[in-house]
Amino acid sequence: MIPSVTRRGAWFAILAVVALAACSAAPESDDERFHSLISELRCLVCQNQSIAESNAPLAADLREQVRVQIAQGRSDQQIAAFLTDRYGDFVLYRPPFRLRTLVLWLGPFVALLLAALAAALYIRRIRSPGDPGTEPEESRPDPDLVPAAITLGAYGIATAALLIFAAIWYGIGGSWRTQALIGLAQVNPAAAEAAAVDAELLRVRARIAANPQDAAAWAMAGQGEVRGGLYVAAAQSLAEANRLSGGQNPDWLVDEGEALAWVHEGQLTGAPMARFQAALALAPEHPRALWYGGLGALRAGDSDAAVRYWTRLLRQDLPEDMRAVLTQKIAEIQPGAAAVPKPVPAPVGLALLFDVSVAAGLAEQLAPGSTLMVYALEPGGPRMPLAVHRQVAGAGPWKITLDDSKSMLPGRKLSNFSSWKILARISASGDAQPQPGDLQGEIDLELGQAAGRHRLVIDRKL
Amino acid sequence: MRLRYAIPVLLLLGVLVLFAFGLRLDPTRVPSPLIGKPAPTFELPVVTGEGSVLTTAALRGRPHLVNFWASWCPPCLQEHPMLLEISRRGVSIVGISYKDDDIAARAWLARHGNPFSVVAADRDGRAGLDWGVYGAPETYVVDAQGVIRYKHIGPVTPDDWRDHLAPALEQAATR
Repeated sequence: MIPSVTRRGAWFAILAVVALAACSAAPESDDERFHSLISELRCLVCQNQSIAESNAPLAADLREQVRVQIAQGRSDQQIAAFLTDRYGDFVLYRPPFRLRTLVLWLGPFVALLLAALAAALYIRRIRSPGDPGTEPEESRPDPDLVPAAITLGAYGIATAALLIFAAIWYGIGGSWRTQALIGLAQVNPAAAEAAAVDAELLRVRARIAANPQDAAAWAMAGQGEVRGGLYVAAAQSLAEANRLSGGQNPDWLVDEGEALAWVHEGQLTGAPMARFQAALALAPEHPRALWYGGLGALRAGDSDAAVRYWTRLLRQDLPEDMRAVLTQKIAEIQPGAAAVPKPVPAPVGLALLFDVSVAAGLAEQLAPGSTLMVYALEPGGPRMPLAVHRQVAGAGPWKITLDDSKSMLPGRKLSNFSSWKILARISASGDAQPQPGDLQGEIDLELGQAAGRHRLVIDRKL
Repeated sequence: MRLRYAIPVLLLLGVLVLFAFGLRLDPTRVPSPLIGKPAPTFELPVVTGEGSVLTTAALRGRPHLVNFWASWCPPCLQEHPMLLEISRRGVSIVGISYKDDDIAARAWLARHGNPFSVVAADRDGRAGLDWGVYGAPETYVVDAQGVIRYKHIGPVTPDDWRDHLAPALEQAATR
């Protein structure tokens, strides 16, 4: 037994040696070649990643190319040439040694050599103070150490100046990204604004990630999200901002109320109204809080409060169209109100006229005391109406007019759009959000067909 | 030996000049090795015509632009008004629908307008790879002999058109 075991052991030893030798001598397997190649090729999309690391679709394509070409038996050089023919030397993390890349390859060594030379000279200088023999030149009257110190000082100043210059240059000149954004703004201002908002959001989110206690960053994120139409996220970000600041910033409170109103499709009572009132408690003259506060109070049936808020707002310096809308609204609530400071200009722009009726089968389901709401939406846009008409339903049919005076936000009114989705809804609860059991009908309208009266039949139950 | 004090100043100036140029460069603009070379050949199905095929040979004889775009690419939409404007000026633009679905591409063109004299589909991006495309949109100026004269990466702005593409096209026409 014993000899056979040792013999077997010997065989293993020989096999192991042979295998080791084969390993070290064997050419790389295709798999190894693949991995070493793709880690030396640069992805053109994520430029600081190799195509092995990058998740960009282009990197996946290039990996596939490398794999296919290895399978076809092409050499590493051929594969690299295939890619540089298309994308240039840029794809190679190890650029070729050429006249163009001479500085790149030799520059560091030259710089090192120069530095070493300068250091050697400098050290020799300070090591031989008072040795007049070594320095026969004109440095003699002013021995040695002083010029060295001056040179050192000059280098220090130069370095500082360089850093300051670089910072200022980059700050003022702006980066190539800014240049691209400016270019885009000339072609498509909306897209440029969206891109700028996105970039800003990214920056702010990074700030939040670094410090989740940064209330201002949360507020900025929320404001950006409102502009980008992300109302739910905006309401959350702004709620966080207000929580962190203890609800002491009226602007953010109004922002949050506004975002909540967007989320709830223009409903102002409840949570949004609480924010506006909190803001007004802090800053009684806050214009946006006064505007929304009045709108919310009116919606809640408190027309006195609405008039109070809006008269306070009217005393401020307002744009003309805003003033016109406000005086008109106050006049509607209180005919002959003394608060009207100027004659009311009739709202310019278009008025859409509707004959609203309920389909025969549904008329019986009309609960007494229900509310009729007729409102216009931007087709495919946010759910915040462009114009709203509300009244106690009673018995139909109804003659309804929608115009710019029924806007909820100064910038969002009927005449700013050229097509609308008109909805008529009868709700037992009067809630601004559609509820199951509400009766609804809708039509689409375009500017070309805006004139005349439009039939709008409430024909289905939600 | 006063010269010694001038050395740091000279070094500083040198680096400043390098910065002045270097900081303005856009690192995403990678120069193409294909400038001055015959355009890579392709044979791609035409998106708008059933069964027909577009080849590079068919494009010879007249300078034109080749624009790689996709319906999934927001910057393509940004440059779209400019492409429409360029095509209105009588420039022939060949559209390559890059890694896109034909139906989506057709719908996109129907919605936003079609500046292209012909649109061919590079569904797997293989033609794009041959042309050195690494992110739509990219626009090439190709002369009548089929040689690439200029490559523009990213959306075409009016400035890009006036300063680079239009002169390159003009040169290609007189060649």
